[in-house]
Amino acid sequence: MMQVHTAELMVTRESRECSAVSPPEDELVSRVLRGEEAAFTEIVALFQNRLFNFVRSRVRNRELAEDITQEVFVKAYYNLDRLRDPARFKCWLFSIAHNHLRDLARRRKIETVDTEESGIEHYVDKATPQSVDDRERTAAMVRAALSRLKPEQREILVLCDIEGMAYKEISQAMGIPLGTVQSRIFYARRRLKEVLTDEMGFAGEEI
Amino acid sequence: MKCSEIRIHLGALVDGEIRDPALLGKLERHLGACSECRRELEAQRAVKGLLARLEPERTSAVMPTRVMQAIKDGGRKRQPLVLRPAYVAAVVAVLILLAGGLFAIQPRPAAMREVESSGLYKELPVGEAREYMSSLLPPGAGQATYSNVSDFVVASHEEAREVLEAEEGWSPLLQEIAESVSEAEGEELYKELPGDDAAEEDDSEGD
Repeated sequence: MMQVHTAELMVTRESRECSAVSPPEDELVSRVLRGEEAAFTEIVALFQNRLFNFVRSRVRNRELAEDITQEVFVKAYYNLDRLRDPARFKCWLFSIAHNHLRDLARRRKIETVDTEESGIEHYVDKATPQSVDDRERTAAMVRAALSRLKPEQREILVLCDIEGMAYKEISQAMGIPLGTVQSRIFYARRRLKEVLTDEMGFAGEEI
Repeated sequence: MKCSEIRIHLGALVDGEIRDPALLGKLERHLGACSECRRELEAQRAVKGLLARLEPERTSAVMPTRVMQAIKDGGRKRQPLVLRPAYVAAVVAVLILLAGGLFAIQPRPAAMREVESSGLYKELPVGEAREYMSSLLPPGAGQATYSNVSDFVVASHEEAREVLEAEEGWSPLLQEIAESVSEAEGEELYKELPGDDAAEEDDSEGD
């Protein structure tokens, strides 16, 4: 029998919970709550790209995604004093975004990523010129594969594997049980691999 | 453990989210003996690695300015609790029900969910209203009763008064609802409640 040590197989990551550390936003949130509204500018600067990427996991149109990102920040600003623990700001912000996107989708106010138009042919046409190096090509292919996943699968992979959020943080941000977080991540990665290898012919040595 | 029972944990294993030593031991032993599950584990790790290498897409550099301008243009401070849309929707919905017997009004689902979550429905009067309210209570909560209805009515009006005093612009609307005389009028007014984004957007589309 082969000896396998799980510690070697795991991607080492510090176990984090929303309230386990005092991130920079902790102090910034406190400053805003004390009336220093300019501190909110720093909060936006700190989270704008991360939030935007999360929104983009559901919204294909870049301009619309920017508008929605702005709306989420404004919502957060007006409701900031409902946040009981400033150290949980990141989870709270992503939960606002998650709910906002869900509401928009329910009301058909957003054009979600169109899986029908992100096929391999479409991708190859745009991303196979010789000038595009392998790394960019791989990234483009992964993004194209991501777009074929279900919205909730895209969201959770962005939060876990791109944002690096812990399961407990994701559970709080998406309002789903920890067990659901675990199974959804597992099946989302499995599906992404299927799309990459079986549907898009990805042959990178990474996978 | 069967392979199917093992595999569901493999994503969490890759993420360093399994802390139960007993489960870790089982996973180690199984992975040492099962090449299929080892491949699944490697696939989970590979996909995670591909996603982690994606460069985050950057949003507009002027996002902080846009957000602060939107807040400034909004021209309002962060809201106290009594002015939050969900809270106001709950109070107003109760006023509608108490004032006019307008039980046939069926608010839109999103608004209704907000009302349900407020807990204010739990002690409404008998009859059609009670049946309706009871249908909204969580499983096992039984029938809504009359037992505390007088206290409840007083409390609701206290809450409504706070809203009326705190936000002058809503005062006529709320008073009109409280004194509403017909189902059609009540429903029309309900559509105009602040904070009901769906109604606001519907209205703007009709302009």
